[in-house]
Amino acid sequence: MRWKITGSSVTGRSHVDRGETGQDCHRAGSIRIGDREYFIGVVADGAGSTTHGGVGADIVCGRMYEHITGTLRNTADLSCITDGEIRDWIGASRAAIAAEAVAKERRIRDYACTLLGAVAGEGHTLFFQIGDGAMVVSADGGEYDTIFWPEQGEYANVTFFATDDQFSEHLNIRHYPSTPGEIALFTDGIQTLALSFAQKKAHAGFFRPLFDALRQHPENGFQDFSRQLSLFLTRDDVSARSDDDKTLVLAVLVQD
Amino acid sequence: MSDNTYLDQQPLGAVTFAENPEPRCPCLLLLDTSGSMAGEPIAELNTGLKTFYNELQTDSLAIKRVEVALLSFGPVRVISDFTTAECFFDPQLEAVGDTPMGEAIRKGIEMIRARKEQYRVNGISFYRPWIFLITDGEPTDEWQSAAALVREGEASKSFAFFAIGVNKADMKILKQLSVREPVKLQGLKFREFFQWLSNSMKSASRSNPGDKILLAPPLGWSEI
Repeated sequence: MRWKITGSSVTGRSHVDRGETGQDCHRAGSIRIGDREYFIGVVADGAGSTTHGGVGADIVCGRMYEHITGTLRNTADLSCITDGEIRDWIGASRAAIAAEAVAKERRIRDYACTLLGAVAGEGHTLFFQIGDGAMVVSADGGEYDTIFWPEQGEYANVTFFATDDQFSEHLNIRHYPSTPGEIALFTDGIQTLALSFAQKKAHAGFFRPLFDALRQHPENGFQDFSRQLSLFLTRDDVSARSDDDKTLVLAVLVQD
Repeated sequence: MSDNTYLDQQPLGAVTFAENPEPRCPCLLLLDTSGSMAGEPIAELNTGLKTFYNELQTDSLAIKRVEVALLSFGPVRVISDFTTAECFFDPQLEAVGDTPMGEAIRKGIEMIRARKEQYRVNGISFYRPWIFLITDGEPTDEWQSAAALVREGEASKSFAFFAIGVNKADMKILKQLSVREPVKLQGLKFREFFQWLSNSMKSASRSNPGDKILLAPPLGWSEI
């Protein structure tokens, strides 16, 4: 069992026009422990209203990835990882952001960002999320299911952040007792393209071709695939649908 | 065929988008069309509205997200319920009658409530609605209950209410009607006002999670 993984974060057109850099970030990869390979994906979206949301997103992705790999080296069985441990990873990542804020004499909310994460091993997958964006899985390339529906405040431009004092209150955790063949993580910039809000469902027409392309892509060309993904995410018809920064991480399971 | 061409034209080209409703940015205009607006004021207001629609129609996101409703008073009449810019029309308002401002505000707030309910039922997300009251006079009906509804709505963040006074508008009453400071229109600069409003709506319709929507200072059309 192996994972093929790709990911891309692109800056929304209106941000490009204003000369701003993107506030989205991701880390995605796999680690092999013994004869098992684990997929780890972390995605964060820095709040548009902040000055340093992008920095917060970068710190939280990097720290979460380290905490997860560290834990996996000690606990190879994913089903043994508790909600408390996941909260501790996030708490520690949040503390790293707080330290950066103190060092730069800013407030932690200047670094506000959302957080989505997935860790998949044999027979068990962990998902966690604070704020908007979504994760989508498919067992066998059939129906696509959302793990959590994007969490939002009353208005479209209000959400919850990993940097909030009360982050645990809006932390969603799901222990999934199997290994999905396909996993996607994405920020809210992709939501309007990939999710049907009327039906509260993931749109298969969006995910199917992307996963198929990744599955069929030659093994040695991963760099190239993520570059193609970036071109796709900045295409005119995509930008016309969503002006926001966009991050998409895809992982497919390959049986040898 | 190179790898790039294959990826670019085949699999990723086949991606389709969810037929997903865009988040909506509702804006309600309460327009005074009482007798005192007759002549140049109403003509300028009509021209301004046209500018407003045209501006929104040229913006690929605003056309799908901004929903405008028009309610005129003198007498109270819904000219157009909430609709996106694709369906905008040329309203050609006429000035006649008195100034039932209280009734107009109460009716407008009810329209906002009903629209939000429709968004919720249909799973459409939305931004905080804006209400703009534009008047050149003073209420000829009971307005204190309307003022209370505005205060309530502002406190619960149900909407943001702005009052614009034209010519001899009673700014003292507008101050009591609106929690936010009312603004006096410079002469009959409706066109400049609507230009400003469409710009504000365009940026609001682009705002992302976490953004605080800030209105640009009312430059170019207001007396400050």
